[in-house]
Amino acid sequence: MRSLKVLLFAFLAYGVLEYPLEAQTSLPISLFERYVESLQKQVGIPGMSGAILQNGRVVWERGFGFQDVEGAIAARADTPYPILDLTQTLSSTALLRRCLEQHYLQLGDSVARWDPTYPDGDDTIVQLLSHVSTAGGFKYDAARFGALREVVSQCANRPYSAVLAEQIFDRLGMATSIPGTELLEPGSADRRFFSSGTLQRYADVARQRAASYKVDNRGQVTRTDSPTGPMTAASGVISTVRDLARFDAALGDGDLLQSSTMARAWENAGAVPTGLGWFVQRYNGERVVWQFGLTRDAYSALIVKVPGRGLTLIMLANSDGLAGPPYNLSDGSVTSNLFASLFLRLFVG
Amino acid sequence: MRRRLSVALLLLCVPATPARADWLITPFLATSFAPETSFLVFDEEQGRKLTFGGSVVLLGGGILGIEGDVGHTPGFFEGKEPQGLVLSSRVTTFSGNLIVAAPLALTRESLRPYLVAGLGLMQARSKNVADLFPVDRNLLSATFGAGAIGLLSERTGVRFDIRHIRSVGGAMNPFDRPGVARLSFWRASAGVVFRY
Repeated sequence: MRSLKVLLFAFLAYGVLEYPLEAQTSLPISLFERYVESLQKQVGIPGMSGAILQNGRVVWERGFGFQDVEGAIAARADTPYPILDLTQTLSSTALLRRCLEQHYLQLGDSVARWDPTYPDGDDTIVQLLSHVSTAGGFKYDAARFGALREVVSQCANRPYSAVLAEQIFDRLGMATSIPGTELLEPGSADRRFFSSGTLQRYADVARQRAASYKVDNRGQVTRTDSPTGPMTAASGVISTVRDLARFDAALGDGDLLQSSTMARAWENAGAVPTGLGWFVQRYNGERVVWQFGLTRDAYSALIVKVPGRGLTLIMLANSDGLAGPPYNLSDGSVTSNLFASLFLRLFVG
Repeated sequence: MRRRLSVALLLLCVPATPARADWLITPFLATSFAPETSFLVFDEEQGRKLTFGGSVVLLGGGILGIEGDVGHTPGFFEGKEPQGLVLSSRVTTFSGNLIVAAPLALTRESLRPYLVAGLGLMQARSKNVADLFPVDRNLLSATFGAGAIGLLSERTGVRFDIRHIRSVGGAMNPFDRPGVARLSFWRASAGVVFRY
C-alpha cells in the first residue's frame, strides 16, 4: 500500500514538473512568445531572457538568441545581465523594508539628514524615490535617485551592497544576483560583510554575464565594452529573470513589505507618473507598475506588473533594443514600448 | 565616348512628333522583390510577390510622355510560413510619372526603351494575429525605373519594365523601427500594350 502511495506521489509530481508551464495557465503565452521572437530580431536584440509570473508563479520563462554571439552561447532564463535602473525597484524595497518599516527614517526626511555631503538640503527621501524635482515636478533622474545608497547605508549602518544582499538576495535565494560589480574586486571592508564563498559565487555569476552589443539600423551586430559603473541605489545590480521572478513573487506574497507600504510604493506620489522606485500608470482601467533600464549600445531591461491581475513580465536584453529609442520611457509611459504593449494588449486587453 | 556623345546629341535634336500622340494602355503582371521596410513585419522571408496592375501612357513619337500607373500586391508582408502571424496584407501604389523615351524616329519598329520617374501614393496594410501592431499607412512615394515597349502590330505590343518604388518622408509611427525608408521595393513587370 505504501509503495502504491509513493508511486502515486511520484506520478503526480512528474505530472506537475513535466507539464508545460503554459498549460498551467489560460494566458495566450505561445502567441506572446511568437511575437517576442519576431520582435527580438526586428528591434535588434542579439540575446534576451524573459519570464512571466501569474499570481507569484512563473508560468513562462525563456531565453532568445545568444548571450554571447561569437561563442554561440544561447541566452537562458538564468543568464545574468546588468539590470541597470531596475535596481531602483530593489533599492526602494530595501529602503522601505530596512529603514522605513523599522522606523529609522521618515520618507519626508531631508536626504541631507542622512548624507551630509548631499548637495541639495531641501530634497527629501520621497522626492528622490519618486523622481520629483526640487521644484516639485516630475523629472526622471537616475543619478539623483542613486544618492539613496548613502541613506540606506547610514540607516542600516552597513554597506549598501550588504543591505541589498541581506534584505533581498540572500533572503529570497537569489543566488545568481550580484549587488554591484565592485564586489568582484573586494576590499577588506567588503570581506567583513561577504564570505569568501559568496564573493566567489559573485565572480562565477559575473563570468556568465551576457556580453553587450550594439546593433545598427541594418542589423549589424558589434560587441561593445560591458559598462561597469559604480553600484548606486539606481543601478549596478547584475541578475537574471529567474532571480527577479523570485523578488517579484516575494513582493506579491508580502514577504518583503507590509501591504500598506507596498500600496504606497505602487501608487502615484502626487501628480507624477511614479510611486516609490516604480513608475505607476493606468492601462485600460488597470494599474500598471513598471521600471526600465537602459544603457545605450549595451543592455536594456524591463519589468511590467499588473497587480490587479497578478501578472508580471520581466525581460533582460544584451542590447538597448528592449528599452532604447524610439521609446522615451523616462517620460513615464510604458505603453509606447513594444514589449510592454504586447504584454498588456495580449494579457490585459 | 565620342560616339556616346553623338548619340546623346542626336537624341536631343530629334523633334517630338507634333502630329500624333498615342494612348498606350498596359495591363501587366509583375513580381515585387527586395522589399525593405521600417514597419514591424511579423513574418519572415517576404521575398517575391505577384503584383498586378495597369498603366496608361500618353506618348508620341518624341521623347516625352506621361504615365498613370497602379500596382497592387496582395500578401506583401506575408512570409512562407502558412501559420505566420500576418493574417492579410497588401501594398497598392498609385503614381503619376514622366517618361523619357527613345524617339520613334530612332527606334522605328524595334523595342523603344524609356526611363520613368514620378511621384504618387503608396498604401500599405497589414493585419496580424490578435489584431496586434497593424499597419495602415498612406505614404507619399517616388518611382524611378526603365523599360521598353515593342509594338507587334498596329494596335498591340508588349512592355517590359523594372522600377523601384519607395516611400518618401512620412512621420514615424511609435512602433516603427529606426530607418530611413518606411517602405521600398522593386517591381519587374511584363504587360500587353494596347495602342489607341
